[in-house]
Order: sequence, then C-alpha cells, then structure tokens
Amino acid sequence: MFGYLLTRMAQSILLLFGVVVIVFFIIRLTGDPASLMVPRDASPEQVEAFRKAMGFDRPVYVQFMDFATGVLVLDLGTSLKLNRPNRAVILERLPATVQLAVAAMAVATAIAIPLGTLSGTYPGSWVDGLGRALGLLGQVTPSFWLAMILILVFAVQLGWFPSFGRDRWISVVLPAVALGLGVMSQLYRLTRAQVLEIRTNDFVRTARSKGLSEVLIMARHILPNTAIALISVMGVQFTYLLGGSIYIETIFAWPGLGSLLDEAIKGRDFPLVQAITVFFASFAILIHLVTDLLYGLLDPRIRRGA
Amino acid sequence: MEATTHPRAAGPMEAFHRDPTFWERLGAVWRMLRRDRAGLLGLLLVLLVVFTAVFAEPIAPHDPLDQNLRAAKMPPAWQEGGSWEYPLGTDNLGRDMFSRIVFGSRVSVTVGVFGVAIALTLGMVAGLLAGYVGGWLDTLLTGTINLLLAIPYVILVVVAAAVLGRSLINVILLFGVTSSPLFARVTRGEVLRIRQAEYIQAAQCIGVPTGRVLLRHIVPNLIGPLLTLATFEMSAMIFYEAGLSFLGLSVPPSVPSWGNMLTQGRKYLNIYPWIAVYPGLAIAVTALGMNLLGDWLRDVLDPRTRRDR
Repeated sequence: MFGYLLTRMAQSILLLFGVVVIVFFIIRLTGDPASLMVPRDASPEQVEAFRKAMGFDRPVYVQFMDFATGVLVLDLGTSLKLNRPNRAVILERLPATVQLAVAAMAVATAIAIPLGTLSGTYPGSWVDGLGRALGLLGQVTPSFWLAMILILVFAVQLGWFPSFGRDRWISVVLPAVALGLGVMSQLYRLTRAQVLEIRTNDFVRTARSKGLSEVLIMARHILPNTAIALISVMGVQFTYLLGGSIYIETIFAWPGLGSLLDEAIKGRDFPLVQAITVFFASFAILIHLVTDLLYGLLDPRIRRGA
Repeated sequence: MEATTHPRAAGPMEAFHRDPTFWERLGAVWRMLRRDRAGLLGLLLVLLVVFTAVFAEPIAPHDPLDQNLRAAKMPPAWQEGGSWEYPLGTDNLGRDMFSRIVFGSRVSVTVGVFGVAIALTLGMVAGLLAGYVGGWLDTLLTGTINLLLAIPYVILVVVAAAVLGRSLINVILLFGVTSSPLFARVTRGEVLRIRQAEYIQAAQCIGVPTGRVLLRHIVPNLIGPLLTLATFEMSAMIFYEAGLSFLGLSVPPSVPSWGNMLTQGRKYLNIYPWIAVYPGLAIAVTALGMNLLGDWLRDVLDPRTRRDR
C-alpha cells in the first residue's frame, strides 16, 4: 500500500508540473501576453510600459522560473483589476463553489443510485424506462440552458426559489439541480450497468440459495461491489462539476470561483485567470489522488497491481 | 481443351468467396438499423440537422440578420400575438427566431465535423505511433493524455478561447487539438490489443512493410471504436461550442449561433422566454440524435457487445 501511495503521489506532482507549464504557455499562445491584458484602446507606449512592468520583456525561461517558483510557494500572483493577491481572492470565493459542487453531487447521487439500483434490478420495467429516459435527458440537456428553464419555471412562474444570489439556503437548490443533472445521468448509467452485471455473479446466486432476502442481497452483496466503480467515476465527475460551475455560477450570480473566472476573463485580468486555472487543476488532481487512494483501500487488487 | 475456363467457375462458390459489395454492406446496416428504433431515430435527427445546415438558405423564411423593429419580441405563432410569418417568434431586434436557429445549425455542424476530423486525424496518428512503435513516444503520449484529462476540460477551453479571441477557426482548432488525446487513447488501446494477434505476427514474419501492416491489418479494426467515439465527441463539441458562445468566447456576436442566441435570450428571460427556450431545444435535439446514434453504433460495430434483439 505504501509503494502504491508513493507512486500515485509522484504522478500527481508530475501532473502538477505539467499544469504549470500549460497555464504558463496558454496566455502566450498569441505570442504577446501584454497586449492581451491592456485595455483595447491602449497606445503602443502604454503596452510597452505594461510589458516592462509585468516582466514580459525578460527571456521566457526566466519568466517561467518566476511563475513556477511562485506556484511552488503558493504565491499565485496579483490581480490586475482587484489589486490584491490572487490567492486571497480565490480563497474568499472558494466556499461558495465547494458548497455548490457538493450540493450538485448530493442531488446527482440521491437520484442516480436508488434509480440505477431499481433499474438494474428490474430491467425492462416502468421504473427502468423512467430511469433511462431521465438518464438520456440529463445527457443531452446543456446545463446552462437547463439553468434558464429552471429559473423560468421555478423562480419566475412559480416563485418557489430565488433566481440569483446566495443569501438564503434555498438559493442553492436551482443551481445544484442544473449543475448536477449531467452527473446524475452518468452515475445512473453506471449504477444500472453495475447492478445488472453483478447480480448475475455466482456469489449472488449462493446468497439467494441460502435464503437471504433480496434486500439483504442488495445491501450486502451487490451495492458494496458497485461502490468501487462509483467512487472512481465520482472523482472524475467532480472535476466536471468544477468546470461546469463557470456557466451555472454566471447564470445564478453565485459568488464562487466559476463566476470569478468569467469576471476575470471579461476584465482581461489574466494573472487572475491563470491563478484560478492552476487552482482548479490542482484541486482536480488532488481529488483524483484521494479517489485513487480510496479505490486502492477498497480494492486490494489495485494496490497490489501497482 | 480449355480447362481454365470451366463454366462452373462463376457458380455459387464464387459468390461465397467474393467480398460483399458496398450496396450489400449498406443493406446489412439498414437491416440492423430497422430493428433498432432508437438508433433509427438518432440517425434521422442527425440527418435532419445536417440537412438544415446544408440547405439553410432555402429553408429559412427570413434573412437571419434582418432586423424588423416593428415586429420585435413577437411570441411564437401559437401564442397570443404571434404570427405564422415568424413561426418561433422574433428576438429583441425583430429578427426571425426560426431562421436564426436554422442558420445557427451551421456553426454547430461545422464545429462538430471539422473539430472531430482534426481530433481524429491527430489522435489516430499519435495513437498508432504510441501503440505500434512504443518506447519514449508512448510514455510522452500517455503523459500528455493524463495531463489533459486532469485539467477540467471546460476551464481549459474557456481560458484558451479567451486568449485566442472570437473566431470559428480558433474554436475548431482548439477543440480538434484538445480532443485528440481521447482518440489517441482509444487508438493506442486497440493497437496494443490487436498487435499481439497471430495474423499481425504472420504478416510481419513474411516481411510485409510496417506501413502496410498498419493500413491493411490494424487501421480497419480501429474504424468501429473510433467512429463511435467520433459520434459522441461531435455531440460534446456542439455542447462546448454553445457553452463558449454563451460566455461570449466563440464566434463573434453578430453570427447567429445557438449559444449566442441563448446569451441574448438570458437578458430577456423573465419577459420574452422564447428567445432562450428554442435555441437550447435545438442543441438538445441535436445531442439526442447523436447520442442515440452513438449508442447504436457502439452496439453494432463492436462485435463483443453486439446483442441480438
């Protein structure tokens, strides 16, 4: 287990380095980061002054070392528009995004796992039909459009939920549903397929033949076996939720990192854009690491194979 | 005696050995499709969207950019105050919603087709090299794939699009390059699986050149899995393009695209909801078609999962 842990951590550090390289070069894609950040009507002299002030006139490897060592000591630079350290701005907005992502994951799991279990146990039944329709719907509906439809129906017409902001606990409901539906559909498909497959195993037949009730077979023999696949997919889907937050937070004026990224892009505040990207990617890598470790803990075959 | 031209040579055995012609194969596909209603619906929806994109001019009743302020903010025809002149109503500038949705399909289909074509080409070449040649190339490629999958994809394309600026070409290139690792991964996996097969080793033994082994014996095996992935990726790219448009990072705002229309619609959501509802429905219907078709392709092209229904 220790060797497995070490390998996975080394991989994560390598990935993190790769992220720093990508984020460093992404704002240099056009060749001139300075003109990307100055106001559109800036004069050539202003651009030149800005380039000097930001150090963009230095050799690229010096700039890269500067950026990379900054990330290493958790210094993510300074925001151009807010004139504050990016790290402070990000930490301020982080709780809202975590709250939204956790709520979305909760919505997704609460629907997907029971429905997937029922679907897998009774394939071809009306529950299965309902589940598959809902699963397909979640797959083909863009979250940003769903968000608007939810606002239209539940905020404007019925008036049950607020259409923007984060001042009441009830505010999280609509954004969480909009963000979670896509994940719900993925988790549903997986649960259904897993239950369908596992229930044909010999150990399930044995359990049934020794007279265990169907509920016990499900709780003790089938569901624990689906957990391994579910946890690994939930890790991947959490990354997806972080990405999706940029649409949902923008629509619902939710004060998290997604809307911060949107504001930073619109304000041409690219140091902040870079900082948020590094943060999101590191967060995603961390989640993957944790899921993989959990996965190894649950399934001895994985840690021995590694 | 002319024993070589035996009259029986063109008999039933000939038909048995002959490869099926293109039309026979198409017929077999059609018979399989007829048995699967969901797959057939998927194909019809995809054909409908492609047809709309190709023949947008004759289909659309109005110019999608034509503003008619006297007819602005009209609801769809079946609602109070609507008119069949503007079947899905008009937007805040009096442009015909139906015509804009028809022309909007062009952006989506273009991004989907060309984005997937680039991703498929790059990914297949990289995957073939990594899987067949192996070595440091394989290590490098697998590392790149893991890296690109580690960063939340939406964040990656949003930031890159923000740097590159609003243009259709940029969006296509961006999606093509960033999706290619998916195609590379599938190709690599299939190559690793197939190259151990005896017929590949036999071909190598009798001295068939590497390029010919790849083209004749390996690439045909890749068509199934790659075609399935291409269908799903096309639907994903249409989603992501709409998402970028929605954030103001795809095609310029003057171009009618489904995502751009949603952004305009968002401002008037409370009062003129149809401006936001129908473009989103177009995206969902397109994605539905491609997903149904992809599910069907996966079942049919991958003999390991093919079921008799």
